Amino acid sequence: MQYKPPWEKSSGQYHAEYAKLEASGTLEAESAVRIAVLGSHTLGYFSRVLAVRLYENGITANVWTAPYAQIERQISDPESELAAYKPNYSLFVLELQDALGADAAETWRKENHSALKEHALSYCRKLVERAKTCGGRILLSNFTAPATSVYGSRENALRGERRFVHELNHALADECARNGGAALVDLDAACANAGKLNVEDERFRLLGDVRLNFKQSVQLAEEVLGQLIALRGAGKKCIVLDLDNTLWGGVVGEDGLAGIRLGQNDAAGKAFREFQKELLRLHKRGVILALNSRNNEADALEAIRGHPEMVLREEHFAAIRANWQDKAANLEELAAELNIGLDSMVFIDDDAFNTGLVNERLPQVTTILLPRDPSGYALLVKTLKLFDSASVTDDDLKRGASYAQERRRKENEKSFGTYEDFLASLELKMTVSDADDYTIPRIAQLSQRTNQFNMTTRRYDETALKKMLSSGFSAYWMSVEDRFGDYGVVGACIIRDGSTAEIDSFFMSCRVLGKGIEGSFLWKVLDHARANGSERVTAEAIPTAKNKAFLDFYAKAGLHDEGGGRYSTELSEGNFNYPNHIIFEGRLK
Amino acid sequence: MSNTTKLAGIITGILGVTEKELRDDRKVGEIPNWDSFNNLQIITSVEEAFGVHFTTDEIINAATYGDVKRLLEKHGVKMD
Repeated sequence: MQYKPPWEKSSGQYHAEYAKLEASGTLEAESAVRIAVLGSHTLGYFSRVLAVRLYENGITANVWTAPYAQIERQISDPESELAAYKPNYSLFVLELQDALGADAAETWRKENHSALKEHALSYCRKLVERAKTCGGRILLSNFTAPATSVYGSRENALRGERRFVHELNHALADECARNGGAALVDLDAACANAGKLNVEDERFRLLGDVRLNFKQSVQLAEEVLGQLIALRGAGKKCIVLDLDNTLWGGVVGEDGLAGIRLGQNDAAGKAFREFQKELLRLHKRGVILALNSRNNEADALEAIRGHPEMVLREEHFAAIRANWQDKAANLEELAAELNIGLDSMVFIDDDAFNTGLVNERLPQVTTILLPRDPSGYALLVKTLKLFDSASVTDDDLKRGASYAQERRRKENEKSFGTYEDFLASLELKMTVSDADDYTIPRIAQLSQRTNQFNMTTRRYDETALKKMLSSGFSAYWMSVEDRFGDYGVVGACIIRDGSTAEIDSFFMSCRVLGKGIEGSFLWKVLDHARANGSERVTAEAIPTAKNKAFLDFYAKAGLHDEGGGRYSTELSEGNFNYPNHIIFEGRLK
Repeated sequence: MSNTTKLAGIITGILGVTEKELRDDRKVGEIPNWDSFNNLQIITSVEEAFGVHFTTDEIINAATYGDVKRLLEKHGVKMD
């Protein structure tokens, strides 16, 4: 699937594509995500841009715009169109006057700031509470800070409306992050990125109460796209990069190490270096990097190791393919080696032939065709919402390094005669404990992101998990460490407590499989349940397109197969032979 | 492509109607789907396509399809 930068299309093209989607009936599909858009100004146009933008990023969405200026009625009336629409998401595009009334600006004085702020926050709180009764998740916009101030350039010193809105937005963001009741959509950033001072917009505001212009609509759609990717746990995990004319200018095999353009006193060279710096930032927040280049491996490595201006070095790449085989075949190999799905990979290349080939052969992969001018590379990467996730955990920050450790583990494995010797040499340490405020975000993230070793594939976000933990469920996590490094928290088990305990979810990152860890983790949890008075345990395995290889896990771990994907064991009879090569730590050791 | 064809293409694309719905003397409100929402969309697209800029009154006063063409001519776009 080819990624399209949001700014490439004109307003007319968005409209034409929406008309096409609507006519084809695609947006009426049962599986379409239902998004309601509510606000006190004209939003029909924005909704169409949103539907098109989501569709071209793999999210088929039916976007319904509530009748003009009906926020109150739609969320209070149980018979309203909103309630009947049964949205998966409701997006509220707010204006300051929704929260404070039309006269707020008349009384604008810094002495009123804290009272007005409390008033606006309380409006938002009540809105979210009532909107929840209509079902679905709430997406709440913040407020647009005005482009101008009655105090002119003295605005900051005199603390007028703009300063007020900034403070209000900070408070609202904190509240949304704390309560988890609504995901905050940064309307102010969207409007600012698109530009706020456009005299031509005044015509449309006066003629049709259109307050978001085309560019602002596109940017707001981008913010919503990112939130949906994060909330659905659909963030991409890995960037696969070409080398020549992607990470540097020129062709290293022909131009040589000294001939490629990278950094130094050269505008294009600087552009490539800045692009690398952006990729490094993504790497540091948990995105895996890999290489896929048509090159002799020796030439590629010489540049990566030896060029003084390279930002990305061998240690940043989880896997490297520099060869003459086609790039689609390389991508398939990389997916297998890194144990991630093709649909979580983003392939970046400057050559339309390569991105075209991948689009054709592996449509699950998102491809990005770089612009002709390298000056646009860094900005393109900075604007991507494809990696958005609900949280950034310590484990994300470690992920890049852990893949490099994995490469060294594999090299080490080759030097042992038997697999048992190899396991013993790892000095594996496994920690099992119960979930707490610190580990819940990571457990939610694993629940959203694990596909292969996920026995029931029930997706829980932090809010849902917290609710379960206060209503009869327990959750346990497991972290693994060996002499090469720390994998961090890589697995979790959610269980409904009782004399018959039910395993609701059991999922693990594939990086740690094959070392006797999964069975040990399960039984540490079962031993704990037994100690707490459970007599029996049940579990289920629900097949999906991706977890087939692990569906026999419960049977292998010693549970009785009752058929139909259901398993059970009497805890009085079951005992597990914990392997000797693992040292156990944590509260459940 | 002539500017007349280009204009008709933009409008029929937005409204989802055929070109025979567009007659010079027809009030825009009588052309199917030409509501106030699509009107703004048409103006944005026409301004974009021909590189022109209409005033608020010009937009209000463009009552028929022929008015839109005359408006473009006034802004130096030759409607052939």
